[in-house]
Amino acid sequence: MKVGITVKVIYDPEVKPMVDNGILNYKTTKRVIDPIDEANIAAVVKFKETFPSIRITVICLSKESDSNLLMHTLSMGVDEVVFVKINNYDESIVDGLTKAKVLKRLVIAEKYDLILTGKSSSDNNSGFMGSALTTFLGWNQLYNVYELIDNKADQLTARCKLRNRIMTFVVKLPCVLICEFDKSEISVSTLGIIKTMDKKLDIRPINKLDLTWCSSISVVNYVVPNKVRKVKVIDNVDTLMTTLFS
Amino acid sequence: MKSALIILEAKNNKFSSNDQKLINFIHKSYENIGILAVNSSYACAKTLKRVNNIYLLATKIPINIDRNSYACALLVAGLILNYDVTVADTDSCYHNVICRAAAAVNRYVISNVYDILGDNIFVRTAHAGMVNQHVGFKCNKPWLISVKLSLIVDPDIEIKEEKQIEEKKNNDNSGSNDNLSSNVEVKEQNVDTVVSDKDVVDDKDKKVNDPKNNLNSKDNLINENKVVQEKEVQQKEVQHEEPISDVTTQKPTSISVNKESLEVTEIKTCENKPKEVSIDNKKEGNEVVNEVVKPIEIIQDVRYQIINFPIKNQMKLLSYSKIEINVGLPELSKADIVIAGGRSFGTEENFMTWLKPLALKLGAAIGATKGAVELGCAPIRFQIGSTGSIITPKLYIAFGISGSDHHMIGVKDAKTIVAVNIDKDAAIISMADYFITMDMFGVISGMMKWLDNNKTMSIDNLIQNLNKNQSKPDQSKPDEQEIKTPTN
Repeated sequence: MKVGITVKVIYDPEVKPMVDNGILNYKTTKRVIDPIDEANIAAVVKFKETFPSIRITVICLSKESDSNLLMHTLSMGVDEVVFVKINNYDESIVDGLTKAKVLKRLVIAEKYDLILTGKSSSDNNSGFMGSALTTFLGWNQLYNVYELIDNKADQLTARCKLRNRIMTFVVKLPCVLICEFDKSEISVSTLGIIKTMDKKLDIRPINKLDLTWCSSISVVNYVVPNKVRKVKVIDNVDTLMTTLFS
Repeated sequence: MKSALIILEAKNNKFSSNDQKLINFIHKSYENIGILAVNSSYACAKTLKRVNNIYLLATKIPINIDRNSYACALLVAGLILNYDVTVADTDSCYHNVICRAAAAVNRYVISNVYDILGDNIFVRTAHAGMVNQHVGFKCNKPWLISVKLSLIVDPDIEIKEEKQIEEKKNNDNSGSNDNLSSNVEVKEQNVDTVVSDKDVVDDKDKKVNDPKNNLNSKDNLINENKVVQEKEVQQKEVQHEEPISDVTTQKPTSISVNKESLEVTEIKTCENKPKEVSIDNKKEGNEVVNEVVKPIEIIQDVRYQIINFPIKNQMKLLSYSKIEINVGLPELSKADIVIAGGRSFGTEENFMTWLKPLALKLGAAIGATKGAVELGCAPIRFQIGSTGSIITPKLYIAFGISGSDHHMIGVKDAKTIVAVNIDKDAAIISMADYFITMDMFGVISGMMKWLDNNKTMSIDNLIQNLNKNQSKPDQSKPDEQEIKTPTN
């Protein structure tokens, strides 16, 4: 089974962007692999321990300088990385719809059986790409997957968290999984680091996919919310509770 | 007139307050509201306010949208074309449905929207909630957005709160209390009238339609497996139709203008009979346009269309079980009060032993910092911050939390923040409304003692009093720093 995992490289979500002379400055903020996608990789690598015939490919669309970060995914146990290089990459121009169209071409060309995408991304939480890709491919889809259970012939069994319920589904391949795995399971196996040497990072420039960028949205401006609170120091619990609730 | 289609699902044949909240939010910017009501009967759909057009789905059994998202997306893709904007809740499974539908019509979905500033300016959060983006579509309508409900204050509640403040001011400032109280009564009566009149509207509709096809009288009509002809609730006789507003009682002239336009609409609607909608042949429901611009509180006719929805499950369901998440405690993203702890609790046992009893007494949800989650004190679903939940409770109490940027992003919109920390220099002090420099375990015990001494105060009373105290003249003022688009 050929499994593709889409990965997004984002600005570190734990670092507040600097405002420099009225301009949002990301220059000092490092780029990281989205923790949500990292959790997807960890879950599939774990699944591979039970089903070794699986071949895992990480697919990423981003600017060229991000390609080095993806070496880390190889050390996690991924077999191959396909990196689609976009010149003059700008998050506000390259939206999810365009990315889904590029991915569709790649997925069809490479004949994947299973595609995993994050339920949302940590930066803008749009959660659009996986759903749109499902439509473009016309495949089956499972939403909010949190555990992979079994793979037999052309079927996959997976657990999803939906409406306060855990549901176990059997779905026919090919299929798109929109996942939300437990981030605490992210780990790098030491064996994987050794094996990284044999693995390849396949960089493909976007023009080879024969697609013109055309964004659906434009960012008018950014606003950094800043609520000013005047703190009142209280030295007694009763006073606090009375102030709040009486 | 700007129109919006909202996709909602009734649970146990009942719409939640969040569903109405979403309608209220969209109604502020779009006058003509259509609802695709999934798993809803006619009687259930009737409970929705500020709606012009409702699409009900006729199915044999309730729709499990997770197994039928493809069919639902196709249906939505058809309906999208009749509206300026299509809306779903970001945190519901209908976000997935509208994303699939959007791709089918070559459109993008702007997610996490929590404010609409103009015809094509949507405000959403970005960079893990640290930045707000003003985004517009480059393409022509139809547009699609998904709304982050937890970041929105229900306009209904805002209006009520404003009224309460006004009432209070009037009571405090003026000596003529009798006159004022009578004014208040008039307003309340108007609200009652609005409700009762709506019932009358619906009852009348029922009567009118019963002889024709006997659809309205049956709540279980959507379970009938046949293509039911869409019916028209609007009739030429609209004496019950007088627009009533508890906001515009002093402006009778504006009401008469609306009434005129409403009558015109009636004729229009009768001429344009909507077509039947079926997924099989992928015909879409025709548009139903009420060309009337009305103030928020006006009662209007609602058109119902019934769509046949064939259930074709795409996957096999093997099993399902219910997730028990902290029985007795509200959901983190929806709670009015949230109490949270940091690493200083040390262990999971300590964390829950100290925080859960207090949470139960306050009716609060429990949250945790990333540090506490990483230490194993709390499960990851408790995590608040840029990589966890972003919440907007009325009261947030932080026990032993230093206040890292990463964590505070998740609570920055809380109405009141109370910080309990023994460290006087903790960063959280700059972001809190109340700061108490005491040992957190002592404070928790003190709070429990106070709540025991005030046992007569129920959780509802506590929240009511909290609301009252928060509606007093505000100490904090929201501020936004506008910045230019980054050059990357």
